[in-house]
Amino acid sequence: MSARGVRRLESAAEALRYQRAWFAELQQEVAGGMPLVLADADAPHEVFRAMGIPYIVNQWWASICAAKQCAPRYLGLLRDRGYPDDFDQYSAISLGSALESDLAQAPWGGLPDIALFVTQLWTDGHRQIAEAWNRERGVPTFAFEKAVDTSLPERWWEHIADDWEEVVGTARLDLMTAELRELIALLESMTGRTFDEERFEAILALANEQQEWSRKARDLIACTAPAPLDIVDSIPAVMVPQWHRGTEWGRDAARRFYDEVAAAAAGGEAACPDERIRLMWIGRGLWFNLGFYQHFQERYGAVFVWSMYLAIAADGYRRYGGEPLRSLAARFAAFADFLGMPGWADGWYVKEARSHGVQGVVHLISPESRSSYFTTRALEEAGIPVLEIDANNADARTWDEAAFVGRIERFIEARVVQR
Amino acid sequence: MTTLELLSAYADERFTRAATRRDSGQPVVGYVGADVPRELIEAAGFLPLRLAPTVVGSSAEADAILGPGVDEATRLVLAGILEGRYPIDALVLCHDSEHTVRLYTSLRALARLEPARPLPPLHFFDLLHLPRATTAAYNLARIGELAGQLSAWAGRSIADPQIGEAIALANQNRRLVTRLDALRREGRVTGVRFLGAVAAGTAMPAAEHNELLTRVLAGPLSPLAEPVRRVFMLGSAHPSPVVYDALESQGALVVGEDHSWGAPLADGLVDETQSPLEGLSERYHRGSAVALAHDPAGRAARAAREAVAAGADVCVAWLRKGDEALAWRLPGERAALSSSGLPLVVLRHQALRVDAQASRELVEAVLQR
Repeated sequence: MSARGVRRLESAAEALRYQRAWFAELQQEVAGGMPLVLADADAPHEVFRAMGIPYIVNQWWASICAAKQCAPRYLGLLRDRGYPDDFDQYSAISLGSALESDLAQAPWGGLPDIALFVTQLWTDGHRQIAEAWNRERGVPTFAFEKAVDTSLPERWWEHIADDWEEVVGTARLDLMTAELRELIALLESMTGRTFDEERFEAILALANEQQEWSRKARDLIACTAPAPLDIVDSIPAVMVPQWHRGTEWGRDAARRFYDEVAAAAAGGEAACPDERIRLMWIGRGLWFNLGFYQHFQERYGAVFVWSMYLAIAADGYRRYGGEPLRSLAARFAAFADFLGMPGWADGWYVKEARSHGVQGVVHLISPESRSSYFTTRALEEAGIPVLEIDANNADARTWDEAAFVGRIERFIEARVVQR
Repeated sequence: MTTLELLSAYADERFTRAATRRDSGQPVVGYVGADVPRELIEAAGFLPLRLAPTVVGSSAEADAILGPGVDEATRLVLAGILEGRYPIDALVLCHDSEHTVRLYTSLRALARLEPARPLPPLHFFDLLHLPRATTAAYNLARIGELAGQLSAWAGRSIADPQIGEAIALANQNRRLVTRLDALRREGRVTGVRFLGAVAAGTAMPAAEHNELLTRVLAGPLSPLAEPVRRVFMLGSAHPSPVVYDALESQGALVVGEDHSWGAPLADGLVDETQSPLEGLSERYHRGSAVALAHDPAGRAARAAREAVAAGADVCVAWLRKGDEALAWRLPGERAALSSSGLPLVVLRHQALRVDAQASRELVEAVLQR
């Protein structure tokens, strides 16, 4: 099977072309002295954008390294420096790539020099990785705390956009809002640039618009059978714009994606015309082998119609009302909870599975996931069979393709087809 | 039996001893993690009982709930909670590690999914550790919440003078443990006995522990035989002395450590000139070696200093399976130690239960270099 998968949507292809062009231009700007931030996916990028400071998303770069089959090499470079190559790989691969001395081997010309690393401390490894950036590359870091709220809001997705103060919790919002002000002060001091409040509010509004288009696309795919596309298309179509969240391009890309999905649905186009089974992939994308997701279409008519990327864009990012900086804190202070906190995530996955008519779930377990047991349990109790796979989404070294294909095939035959 | 042996014996059967106290009418609040302020629990009239793994029975359900990303020690604690093996009336958990957070979030979810399941009332003490005023402000509010929850469980308010008194006893306890640690460095107390003394203190009132420690320090404590190696332990926490025993039974002496079941637990006094809650908040946020564990560079520098001060001639980074995050510290620790001329032996993916083969490999790696 092709590692890249077969892509059908022009919006997905266009997003990838845009990203390449953007990256090439960024490399030139950084070479000319522009300061560049490397930020984790759950760090508030909107602040950088409001100050005209470019940023690369740590996990996006890791996915590029994985897709180009470079991740094992970069993990090896970390191991050579005495770091573990078997923990938090997804967050560490970028550092490994920064140790690359042979740029000819690096994807897309390599990671430009980083001026600041920004992270949120949602695992015990994150602060260590930040420290390693400093030790190895002299890169200063800014870390956000990952506070834990003791409440378990019911059906958070129905309330988060407008009642975010209550859903996220005042204590966490106070903390992250104060931290955002510290980050802004640091950036102003480092770069000489000023935080532009008006620009910031415009960015927040564009980001909300973008996610509304994602929401429409998600809802349409959920209720359309056969599905007009699979996740090999929806993932890049939604995620590349996500890293340009708050731009007109990002908003327009999300709209183009929706328009294309709507046209495909109206025209009866399908990822798999012979769709018989709708599958859900829970967990991070298998960046080194997206083609894997399409393997089961021919034999079983089994289509992966759902991944978290479009769904969390639809449900997790919109914030309306309130003080702008605080609303940004509300976007990220609980972000990891939506996808991986027991009592938050499990109900959401069940809701998504039901709305999409999902008949089987393949659940990629990562060691960092707090909610795997509860998610699988909730789905099984809802009558939706789950296959758990223990693998790393960015590190192909332990990926046994034949074994995992076999397991999913047996799962489909024994638990999905027989329902 | 010497007082040190008595303390070790108490540590070995601490949960049975706590059960006896509870049966006699002493309410017990269990806690998980070194960030929980024992003094606040004592001020509320409870016996604070730090939970540690017990190895009775199967942990299959706990393993399934928490998954392999959580270390075995925490999974065994969950197994003990699920089977009601700890004699506790309530449970406080903290943010000292991702393992403890996941233990809390899983218990919370189980309590909601299975309300008939007998689980203790829970409180999560979300003390955080970045060295910023923003985190300090957050922590002060959390400690106020913890005091409120303990008051609610106790059915009465906890007044400042009561907290102050508990702090004074806890500070005295820290001083006494530090003096015991000094005797260990002099070669008069083994690492096994030191860990036992510390562990006993996590399961009895501070005043009682202080009395026993005072008795130990009054001596006499004869010098031990000259050790073949003086070992400083880094890496995973050791809730039991089994690894220390494997080394010391072969002639080594574990002269120090940087984990939260050893000497760092006694580091850093609460400032008694501040209001009690502010003093506690500051000490647990940034004012102790345990708090410093969250600062990779600071921890490495401290470990190197302490290893030299303890007269170590080798450092061992013993990392349990599930504690892979600690492996990210190794280059920093290695650099800090090498500038002090101390070699570092690294043992990763270790099991909590040290079998004969693991013991042999440990001895070979550390003592036969």
